[in-house]
Amino acid sequence: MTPDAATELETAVNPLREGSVTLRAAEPCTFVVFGASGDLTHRKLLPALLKLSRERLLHPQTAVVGFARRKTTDEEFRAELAQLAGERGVPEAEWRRFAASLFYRAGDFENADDYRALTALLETLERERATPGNRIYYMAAPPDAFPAIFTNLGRSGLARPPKPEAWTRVVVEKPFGRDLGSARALNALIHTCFEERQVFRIDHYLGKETVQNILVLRLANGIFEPLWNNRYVDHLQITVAETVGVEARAGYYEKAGVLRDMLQNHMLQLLALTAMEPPARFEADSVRDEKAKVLRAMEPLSPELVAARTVRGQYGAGSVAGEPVVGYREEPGVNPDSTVETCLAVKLEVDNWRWAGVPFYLRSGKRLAKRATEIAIVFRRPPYSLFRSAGCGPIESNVLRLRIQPDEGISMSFGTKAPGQTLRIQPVRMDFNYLTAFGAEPPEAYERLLLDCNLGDSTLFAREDEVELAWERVDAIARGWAETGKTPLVTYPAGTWGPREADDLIERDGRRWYRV
Amino acid sequence: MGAMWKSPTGANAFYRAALANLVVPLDSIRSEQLTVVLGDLARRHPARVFRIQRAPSGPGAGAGAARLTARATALCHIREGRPGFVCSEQIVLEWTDASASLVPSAVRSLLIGDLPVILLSLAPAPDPSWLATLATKVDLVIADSCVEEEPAALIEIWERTGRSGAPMRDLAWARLEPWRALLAELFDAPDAARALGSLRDLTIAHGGAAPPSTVWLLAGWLASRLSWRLEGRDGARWRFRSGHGPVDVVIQRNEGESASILQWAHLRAGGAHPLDVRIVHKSRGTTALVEWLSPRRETVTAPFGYRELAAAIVGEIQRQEPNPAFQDSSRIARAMIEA
Repeated sequence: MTPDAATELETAVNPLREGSVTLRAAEPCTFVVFGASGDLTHRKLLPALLKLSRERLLHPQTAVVGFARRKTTDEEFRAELAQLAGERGVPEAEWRRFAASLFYRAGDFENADDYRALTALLETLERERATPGNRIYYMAAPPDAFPAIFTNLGRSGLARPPKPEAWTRVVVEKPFGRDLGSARALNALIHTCFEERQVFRIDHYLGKETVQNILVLRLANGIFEPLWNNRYVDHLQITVAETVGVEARAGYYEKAGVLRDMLQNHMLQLLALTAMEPPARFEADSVRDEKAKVLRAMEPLSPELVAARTVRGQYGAGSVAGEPVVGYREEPGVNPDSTVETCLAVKLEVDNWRWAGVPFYLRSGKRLAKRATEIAIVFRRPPYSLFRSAGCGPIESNVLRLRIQPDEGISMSFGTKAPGQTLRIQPVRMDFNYLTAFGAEPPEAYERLLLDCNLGDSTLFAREDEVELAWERVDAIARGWAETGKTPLVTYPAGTWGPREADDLIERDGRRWYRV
Repeated sequence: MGAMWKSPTGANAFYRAALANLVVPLDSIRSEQLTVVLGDLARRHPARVFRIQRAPSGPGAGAGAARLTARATALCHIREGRPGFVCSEQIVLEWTDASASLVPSAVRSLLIGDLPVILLSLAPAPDPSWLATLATKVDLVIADSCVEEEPAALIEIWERTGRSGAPMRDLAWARLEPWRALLAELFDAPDAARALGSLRDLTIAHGGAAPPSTVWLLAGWLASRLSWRLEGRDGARWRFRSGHGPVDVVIQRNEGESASILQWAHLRAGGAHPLDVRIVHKSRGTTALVEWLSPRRETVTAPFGYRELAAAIVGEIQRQEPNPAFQDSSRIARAMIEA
């Protein structure tokens, strides 16, 4: 090294970093989970953090602090998770290492003193664990607690990084508002103490490997993107089907319905990812700019179009997977006269150069025949039916299916000659399955998203404008249903594929729902 | 096995998975040890595994037998949190001196056609006679210079990694990764980074009779990253020159440790940015001890990304980018050995 080079070394990047593989290793930080006594924390968040810790993707100095009203000690909080760790066969040493990073602080979301106590605990942990003061606040509390939490985060100074080199971020769980007005109000509230770059609105669907694979499939393979437009695609179908009923969420579901629970977030995000233009770069704002453009290109439906292009249903009694189940109105906590929809089908259009004239059929519901989330891209048939003269019937369209869950994978159907002396064309499938290809299931969505948040990568999180654009479209449907009365709530038996009217919606256009 | 693949779904289902063909020549010494590694490897990166070994001696299987023998088995593991098993096929191929030349054609006929072929060469030299023929037709060769005791054999592996033909990776470099990551991390802080330019002394200690290749590569890596120029050697001391002056590199043996491993590295800098730090790692530990003597006195336990052998192999299989840092490091390491 010359003297000049040595001088340069004093200001340049660390030369030992050159040529090293950039690992997705987390920075030291403290996760503060508001609503730590809730179901989401125990079912998803803590298991995801435990898994990240086991895989050494969390920095060893990371701490997790639960904050909720329930009076619990650190030991009791750890004991609750210990049971889960035991069920999952986590080795004792690994569990002990993670448990040592778990803490709990009982507090009232509205009490400023409790935030002062939380501040003191965080400062102590950061001092003891020699972390720079990076913090992630995770809003796993009910949405009605958000105003109190954000107000107190702002007033107590917790929203600000404690040191210049540190950062603070906030993760907000859905539902992000219940309509456009409340979403805007929530965004405004959050922005009183956090800038947009600090806000991570989580939609766990975006953390699923298969959802991320939509972009990879389209943009890392030469054969698909040229076909990804109205010249070759006849229509798209997005199905998000659940077999479960409302379970313990009747209180929430009675206010939301499938429209707000599924369409506003998961389904429109899947649609946007499938329909978006290739981003200039694979980084957060480029990707989110393109998704927002898709949502903008879908005009909110007029009341007349809502009547013509939507179906809403509610499950009645029936049987799912061989088990008898009650109807929605008989579920605990549900109003016996409830008019909340548990199933919907909708036809949408993306009015842009790429997709003009291509319908997007979306359906989702509870207590349907099967649990499955799938995007089907249905291609146009060949322009001329060459084999008709040889006695072959109509040829099936090629369908590219992206299976989001379960059995994550991709399949492509195409026609082939069935063996035999006559010309018979039969559709067959080429199938890619994550399990049989990689021998492993994709990681849990929350693991990926928590790690991304730690790394400051918001690509897989919804931006303010995306959320508001989605609400505008969903509000138009809700308004249409409320104002015209032309979309009656129809009952469908639990364990079926929803009301007959959902089939009529697509069959009117000479198409059919593909079996998932 | 055919019946296994047709097994029902659910708890007793067997899922056959493969991302690669993995060709593994085994010698009698490492066969048992690598059985565990291959199971772990198949779990992490499913593959059709070709386990190629010399036929055991005995009646009818002596060196004169002119035929290969083969059997098919499967390496299975339970799916995490879900019913069923995920399996990799394993073909065990046994050869004799008389049938050795048949090995390449036998392997070629059994490869899964559209998947990459990876040769995992973990036995020390000399290679079996058929290996060179097979190696010309594979997509990736993974070798391990740490199993070689002769410096010439180390150099041969490093040389081959730079040649055209199938890309070759050295697992010694993968083993060095946590050392490189930890060292890089130590010098991220601006104060420490400034001391990098004025390093004066590097001492690396190892166990075993001779320095493992990781020792040479660590010295080579630091020298290449910091632009040190080799000037000469005096026994176990190598004299380099940096932009700020001379740098001594000492490689010393720890008599108390029989395993051939890199044990600690001690770096010292003088001048305006004094620094004195020693990093100690114990075999297979997931942490390392960082002993700071200057500019401050403290000992901290730092995470050390130790990986089991199978994980290191998978890392090399998945590495897609060229590796100029390794080429630079091995070039200097070779110069040190030959000095």
